[in-house]
Amino acid sequence: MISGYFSARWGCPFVWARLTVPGRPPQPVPFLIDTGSATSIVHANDARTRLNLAMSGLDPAAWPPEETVRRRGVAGVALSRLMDAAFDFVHEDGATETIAKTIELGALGSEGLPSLLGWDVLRHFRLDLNASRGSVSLLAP
Amino acid sequence: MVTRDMSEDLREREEAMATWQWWEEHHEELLAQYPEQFVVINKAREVIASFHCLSDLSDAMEAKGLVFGKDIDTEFITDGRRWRL
Repeated sequence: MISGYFSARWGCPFVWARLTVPGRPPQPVPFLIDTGSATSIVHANDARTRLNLAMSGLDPAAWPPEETVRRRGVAGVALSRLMDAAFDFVHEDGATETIAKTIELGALGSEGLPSLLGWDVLRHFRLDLNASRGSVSLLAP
Repeated sequence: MVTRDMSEDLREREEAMATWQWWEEHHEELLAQYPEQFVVINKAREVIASFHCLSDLSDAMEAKGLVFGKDIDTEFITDGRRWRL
């Protein structure tokens, strides 16, 4: 079982993962569990301040067209860059579960948003979310 | 599933989670003082700066030679419950 929590700031469930992206050492990142998103995305704030990616790497003008995607959400259309990543989730017994995926990197303009864990990763788990008790668990499917 | 020694990883994760918990606990007072700003804290969890945009924050911290995650931590202070992601 992987435990998360409900954030008082966001009023949403979060879980931590240690994220590895190309060229960077693994870093712990908090992800909002977003059951409304098909894909996972690291937004600009976490990319810069947790993964230590350069600001220039968050500028869509510098991204190869074949790695750039347009996503439409409730807040409008945003550009993101496809990026290989490995998520390390720590179970309560100390075991680590690693999931490798192509996720998305949010462009400048997404700063201030939490990073999102979508169904590309969530599909590997059974979710137990209990807001009234404040408990968040990712369980074996 | 991959199982390996993660003791160092776990220590870093625990530290990051403890800092996150600090942001959660101090959210209301920070929101009153620094709404819609990026706030920077040092290892002693003292507010050392605030910025309205990530680029300015990044430039200022680089100029001081400070490393995110190592020397400082930052969060965007907003009333997140009103956001629609």
